[in-house]
Amino acid sequence: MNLTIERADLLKCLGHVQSVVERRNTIPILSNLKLDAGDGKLSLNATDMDLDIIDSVGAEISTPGATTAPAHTLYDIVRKLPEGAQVEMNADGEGRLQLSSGRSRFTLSCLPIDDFPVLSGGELAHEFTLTVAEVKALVDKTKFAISTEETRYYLNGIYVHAAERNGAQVLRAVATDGHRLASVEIPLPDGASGIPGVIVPRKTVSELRKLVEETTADIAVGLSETKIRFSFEDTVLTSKLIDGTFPDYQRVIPEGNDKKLDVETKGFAAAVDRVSAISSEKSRAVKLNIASGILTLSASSPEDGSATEEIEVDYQGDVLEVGFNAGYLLDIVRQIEGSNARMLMADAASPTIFSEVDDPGVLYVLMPMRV
Amino acid sequence: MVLHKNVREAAQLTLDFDHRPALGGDDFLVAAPNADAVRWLDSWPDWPGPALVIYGAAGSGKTHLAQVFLARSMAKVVTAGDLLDSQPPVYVGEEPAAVLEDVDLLVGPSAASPDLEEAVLHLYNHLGETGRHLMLTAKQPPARWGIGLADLASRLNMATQAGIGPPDDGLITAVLVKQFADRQLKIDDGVISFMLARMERSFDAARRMVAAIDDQALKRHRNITVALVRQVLQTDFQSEDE
Amino acid sequence: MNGENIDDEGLAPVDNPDLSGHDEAEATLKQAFESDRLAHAWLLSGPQGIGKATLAYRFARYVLAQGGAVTGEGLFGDALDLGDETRDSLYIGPEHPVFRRVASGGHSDLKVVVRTVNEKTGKLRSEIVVDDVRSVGNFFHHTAGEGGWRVVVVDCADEMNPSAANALLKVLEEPPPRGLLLLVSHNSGRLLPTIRSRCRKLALHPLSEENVASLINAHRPDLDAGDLSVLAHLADGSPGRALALAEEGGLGLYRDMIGLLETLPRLDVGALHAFGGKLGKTGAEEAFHTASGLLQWWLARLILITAGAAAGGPRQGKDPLDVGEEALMKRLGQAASLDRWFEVWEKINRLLVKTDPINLSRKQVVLNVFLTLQNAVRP
Repeated sequence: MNLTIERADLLKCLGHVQSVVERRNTIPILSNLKLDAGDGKLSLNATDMDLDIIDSVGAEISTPGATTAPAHTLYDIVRKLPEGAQVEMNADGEGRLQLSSGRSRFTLSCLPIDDFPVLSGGELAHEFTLTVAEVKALVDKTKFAISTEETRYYLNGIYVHAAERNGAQVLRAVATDGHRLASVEIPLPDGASGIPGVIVPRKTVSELRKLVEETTADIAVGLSETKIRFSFEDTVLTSKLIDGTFPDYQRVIPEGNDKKLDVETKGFAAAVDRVSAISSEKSRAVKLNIASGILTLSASSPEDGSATEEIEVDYQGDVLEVGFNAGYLLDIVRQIEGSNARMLMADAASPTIFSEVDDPGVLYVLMPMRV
Repeated sequence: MVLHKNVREAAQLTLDFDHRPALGGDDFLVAAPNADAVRWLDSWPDWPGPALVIYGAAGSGKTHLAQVFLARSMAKVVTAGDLLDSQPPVYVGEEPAAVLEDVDLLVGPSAASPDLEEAVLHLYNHLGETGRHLMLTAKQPPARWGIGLADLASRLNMATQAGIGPPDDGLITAVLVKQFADRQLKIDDGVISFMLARMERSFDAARRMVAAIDDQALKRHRNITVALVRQVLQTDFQSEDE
Repeated sequence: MNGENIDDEGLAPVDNPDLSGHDEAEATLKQAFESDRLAHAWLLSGPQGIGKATLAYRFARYVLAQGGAVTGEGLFGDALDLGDETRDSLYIGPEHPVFRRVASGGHSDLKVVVRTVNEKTGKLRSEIVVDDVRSVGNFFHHTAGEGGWRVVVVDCADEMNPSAANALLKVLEEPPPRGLLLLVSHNSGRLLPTIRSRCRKLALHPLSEENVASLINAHRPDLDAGDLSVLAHLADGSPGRALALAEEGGLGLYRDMIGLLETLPRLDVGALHAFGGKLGKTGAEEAFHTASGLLQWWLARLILITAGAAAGGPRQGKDPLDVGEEALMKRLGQAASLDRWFEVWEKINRLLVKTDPINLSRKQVVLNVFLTLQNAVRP
């Protein structure tokens, strides 16, 4: 393998993949990146054996070939090279990678490519395409509700599946931590009917979100019972899935909540934020006293005092008092797009639905606190 | 499914998924002898007090129940070493509950160390004060443990108690049938009653015996008949557990 | 002696493609796999160094090579084609992509649980701790990266401390479909009964001396036929033990020891002092331990032969040292009563075991041991 590449290109490409490689590894091959040069491109492959990212960048290839080299060392070296530098890489086929740039010379020890994990290959049964905006919506509106409890591993991701609502086929993403639930859907893309329901791990979701930030291209999704793959431009992200059964979430979405409240989204979020500032406690509660036309938010803390704020709402019905974890409430209200948020309630001990007045495909369920 | 019942946020209500995960219970059959104990474990963390005592003879499934509970609650297993060498906040940490097995060997006149009773009391108090729970297992109910420390005796005697009766024939039959079915094995008529008349009344024995029979049937390419089972019981099964 | 993990000679179980003397166990595993009723957890038990871990990795490779969607780019198609010609073999060749990734630790569907290095001290822990086992839960909670089976090898299960064993129990309770646990155990009697009862047991037997000799020959071609034969004899059917003995100079020590025992009941005092001096030198701790082990082993056999319990044993009639070793055992055995021999044996064991902790002079211990023997057999 012999090639020449712009330092900036190489650094950007390394930046996309190297974070996947764990810093501390007792297994040498897992500290390495796989480098593959051919067809005018250098592709870098990094994995932690649960998740695999390949990113490619244009390079002047004089001899095609492949090797593996320590990821973090390579990244550190390239980072410290001067801007605008050209980098020459040469693998001698005897376990060494020579890297030279200007007057600097580095020799890295390599391991054979056959030792490197294989996650990215193979056919996946289902293939469909999402726009960047769709991926962002599915991820951003659900990610906050993913459980971080390792013991409930089957909640440590976003449940992606095909569903039906009012006769329309949709692709739905759901996440829950048992206190709140987020569900977002888009029209089912071609090729996605009949996909298995899969749980995409949190780390994969985060890496995907980082990678799509810079692109405007459509995202090709490949899916099987055991793997999911996202491909766009020069990047391929392949991941294992969580092997568990996602709970039957439909049963916690109440259908008979008849107390409807519409509120201006931004004002509501700001008011919750202000009132909850009274307590530094994480699990602080905000009380919502709801009467015709008026919502009174209040919070109190034995150490810090109390706060109340009134906002105008569109509500007709009996007076209702319900408490929510302020952090949870803010997480949800901040995700709601459009000028108005809607709450559907039953009573102070039952799940409350939050939705976007303009988009019925977005729905949140929040359990109250007993206050 | 009881979700996220973090005791510090007890006021937070949880979504009711009604999802009972297959926690260590793939072959734990609920039947009359253990129904009471299972009901209490299912209702965790809604126990009337900080402690639940499950007692029953060896092989009645206490440890198995403890495993089910552990998997479900992510409780901490507390050992005699923990009790003697450390303090409850250290060895229980942030876990929502703790499990102490074979307590009748840790307290009372035959205890390995006189300090153990005091240590168990600390553990009980620590969990109680922090709104958490302790599951204890033993062969006998607490009144029979011969606890010397009055404070500990009164607390444990007042704790919720659930006894497990010995597995009855119905339960053992069910276990055997399920075990064979799980292995997709067809068995001749009479095999179950033949086994039932000759085996120890325990889940463990049933499981091991079916495994040994499966093994032999496969090795010898034979159907599972009374004759084969007799041979297994006489030879292979005897030596199977080294 | 660490008979299971000899890697200097490319013999580490994880990259050893060959296995001898366990055809039956291999066939059992293969048939179980093909029957579609594979037990999800296996306990491979038997003495140290006979090839249990080698078999575990061999089975792991075989299982991982089946049904995976991915075999590597442009490499091999159907993994089964690479199987050995014999029907019961689990052989996967070193050129197979699965073999390579298993050996490098880069197979995403294999999890190996072994003792790890304590990051605070930089030393290898003496036991497998709970964190080592917890990673198994995480491993099984993710789908297979190559689309087929997920395999965990625990080497060895005896090294798990109680918390680790309890953590493993949880995994054993709820294994995923197409998940396989292979537990290696040198002393399965010490495992938690709950762990044992959840595993299918597969006992591996010590190898024949011929088998051990040919294995050592393959890895130590420098040893001559005589040395090979003695090592195979001393190894008790464990190639791992034989190789460890070869590394530790066990052959020479054994010859010295037999030479001394030959002179009983009138010990060659000069030779005894030389032997004791050799083992008492600074830096000879390993040699002392090896010699102790050999002497304890030899005396145990002497007692067995004397008691007649060894009749028909596999090593009867072998005399690799050509010194009439068995005749020597019989001669010494008859020189004292069996009860007396038990006393002597226990006394010598106590002496040898005590040496380390209280720092007795090793030379003095050697002298004491042989004088005890002389007392026992003096007419």
